[in-house]
Amino acid sequence: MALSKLDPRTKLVWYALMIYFSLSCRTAVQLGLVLLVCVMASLILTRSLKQYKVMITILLLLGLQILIVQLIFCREGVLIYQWGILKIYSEAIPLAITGILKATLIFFSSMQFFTSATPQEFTLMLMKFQIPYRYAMLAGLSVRFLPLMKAEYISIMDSQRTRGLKMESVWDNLKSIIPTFLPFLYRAVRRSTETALAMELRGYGRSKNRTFSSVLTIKHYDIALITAMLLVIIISLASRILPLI
Amino acid sequence: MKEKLFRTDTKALVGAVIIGIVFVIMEQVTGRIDAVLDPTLLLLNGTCWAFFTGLIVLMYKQPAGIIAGLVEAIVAMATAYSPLAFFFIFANTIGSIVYSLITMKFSMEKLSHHILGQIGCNVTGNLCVMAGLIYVIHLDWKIALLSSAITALVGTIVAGILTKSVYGALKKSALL
Repeated sequence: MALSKLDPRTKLVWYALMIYFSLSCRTAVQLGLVLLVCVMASLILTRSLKQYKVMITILLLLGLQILIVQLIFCREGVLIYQWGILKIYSEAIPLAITGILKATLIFFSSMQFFTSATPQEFTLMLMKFQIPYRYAMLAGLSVRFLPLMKAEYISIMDSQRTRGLKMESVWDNLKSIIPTFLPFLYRAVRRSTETALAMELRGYGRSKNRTFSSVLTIKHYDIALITAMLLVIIISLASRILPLI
Repeated sequence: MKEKLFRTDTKALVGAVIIGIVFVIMEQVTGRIDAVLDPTLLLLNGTCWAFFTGLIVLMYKQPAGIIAGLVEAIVAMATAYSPLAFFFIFANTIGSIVYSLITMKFSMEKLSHHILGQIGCNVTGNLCVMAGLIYVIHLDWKIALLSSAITALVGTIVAGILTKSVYGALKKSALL
């Protein structure tokens, strides 16, 4: 079964399940197993993990950030190293690994969900949740505008650089925020006014209902998968809450 | 009261999405600078977040504030820009609603009005981030509270001043 054949609602419940596990699992082993299941699901359904290649560098930076925070602030376990006010405790590394695995699982499942369906499918899914069309279509609009606005910001930065604005060091970048950000904001406001006008002139929001070239229909296997995943969440929650009562 | 809280015309909805994308890009720019300057406090990032949350609510009201916040949180999750990205959904939504509820009572012509709005927005938003610091990064609650309190304090003052000047400039330019 290919990933594209699954209903976006099934993918949403899978995503919710992964987020639930990432927040409820306490040990690195549990988190590692859930991450492995998530990766295997992607591999089986898409037969490739190429799209996640970009993740590696980002995750290394993210991991480094979590490690630094734990090394500076962790006060659990026994003191293993001291240099001035910097104290490193034995629990810093295991806690950093757990944090990195949690962040990786959230990131991987987010990427899996948001790249698994087209903007139109997200719009249709939102409409199935009784969200009016005027709001549901904003998902597609944001996907359409993200690269356009990024290109606009780069062009503003290039223009400012041509005018002599330095952007070499971190300090230069800090000073260049206001001269690049304000024109970007004003252009974005003007663009939103123009886009809204163009959309209204084309009849956007004139009628409450719209027709689409494709329709979302939930299949039997989708219902079975959603039920199974919801059962896992309910059983897991019950096993945590019932002992407390 | 309803007019001060809601605005559902096309311009507000489209504006929410486009300014939401500007929000995402600026958060990523300030996030990169923060990662070098202050990786544990994220003062620039927190200030940028508070500024945009306030500005979008002032410009387009609700539900635009919530929509822009959700756009930012979802893109942050999909691009792994922060390990706490999942908690941004709650921080952005709650922060935006609280800012709306506070500012609907004021004319927003004085700096104190902007600061009051930012206090509510920063306190609630940073509480959500604090939950993320405890659950995802496993920080001790006292350190998470201190970090969130410093970010909220800086965010309230700087974002309050910035929102007043930029919103004033936007109103004068007749772009709204």
